Amino acid sequence: MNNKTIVLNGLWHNNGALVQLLGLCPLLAVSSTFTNSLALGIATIVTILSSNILISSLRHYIKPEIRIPIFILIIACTVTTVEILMHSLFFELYLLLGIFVPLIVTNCVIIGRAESFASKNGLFKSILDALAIGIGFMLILVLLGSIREIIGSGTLFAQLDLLFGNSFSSTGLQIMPDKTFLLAILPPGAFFGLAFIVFLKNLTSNEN
Amino acid sequence: MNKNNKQIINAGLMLALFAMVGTSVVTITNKLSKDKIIQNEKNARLAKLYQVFDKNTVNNNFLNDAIDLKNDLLDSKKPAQIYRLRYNDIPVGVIVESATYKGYSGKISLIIGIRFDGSISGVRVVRHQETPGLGDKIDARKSDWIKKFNNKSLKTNNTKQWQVQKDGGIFTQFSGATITPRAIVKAVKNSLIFYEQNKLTLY
Repeated sequence: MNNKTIVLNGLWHNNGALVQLLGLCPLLAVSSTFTNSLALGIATIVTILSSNILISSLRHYIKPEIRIPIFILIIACTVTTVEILMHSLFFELYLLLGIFVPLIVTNCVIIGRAESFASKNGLFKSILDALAIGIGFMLILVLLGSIREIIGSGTLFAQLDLLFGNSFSSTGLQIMPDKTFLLAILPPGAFFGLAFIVFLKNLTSNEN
Repeated sequence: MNKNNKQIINAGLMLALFAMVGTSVVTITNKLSKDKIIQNEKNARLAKLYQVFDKNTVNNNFLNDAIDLKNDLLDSKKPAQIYRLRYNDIPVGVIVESATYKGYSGKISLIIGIRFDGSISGVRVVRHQETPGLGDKIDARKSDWIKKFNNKSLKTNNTKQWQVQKDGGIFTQFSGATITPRAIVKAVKNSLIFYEQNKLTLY
């Protein structure tokens, strides 16, 4: 597989959220605002990148029979480290995302990439794959978050100050004054939103 | 020892090694960040409490000057925490961590600042699960409704006025959501009643 295919696969043709439909638990639960989505997206990228790097560099030493428990160990340690660092460096954001940071462990995209890519490919390609898959996942998360925030709360970029400091406003842009559609920020809105994006993706792909 | 057993033991040792390295990384990160996290939590708590009381009128370390009290007027299920605020050892008021279970969905946690004279210095909802877009206007980030309590007391307004407008009081309800504001008004009123009843023994 050449580098271009890896990037295109991760971002589009084999997108973790849209095609593999993996990692839906954090995707659906956290995507109620742009800020939450972006934050969880970044945390996911950091995790998948570290796990791919570790697993790819250790792949010759890991016995195939016990590879799955070792992958899980590596991912769990990475996520816990990310969680602790977030707790100490981005405290308010940590409170906002709450339980969903530790739940990145359950994001099947990460162990999926470890098993199907990083354990079989070199370091450079694994890094590329992690970035492509991670950014692809984050883009969908952010897209879904923006749609839900605009329709459900009428704002965009609210509470961005928690992520990037006080130079950003905490109220965000008011896009749709008062006329909001409540369902969008409730759980069903997440399912409808994702279904809509998957539908659009399938419309544009030529295979079907 | 045959070859098969040796492989099993090797695999076990490898797993143990990975577990050890992983745990060490987590432990070290935890050790390095622990103080910062404790500091963060303390700052967050202080920042939260200062929302309901003027920072310049207090100079004691009230996080360590708190009492736990079980009282039906505050939190009917758990002991409520009461911070005693002083300025040069003279009592200036209290911050009460109260809660109500009469909201639309589950517990609503409140912090209520009460000045020494029994007037409200501020109220904030710190945790709730009310319907987004309807009941969640009690959150100071969503609307200014909660600030209407400022400076009110049992002297400025009588018990009948301490209700939502729909019940004949002075506090507005939200269209489509009366239960939530009604619960909050009642909880704040109860905390004031509690304060008047226990004022002498609180400090």
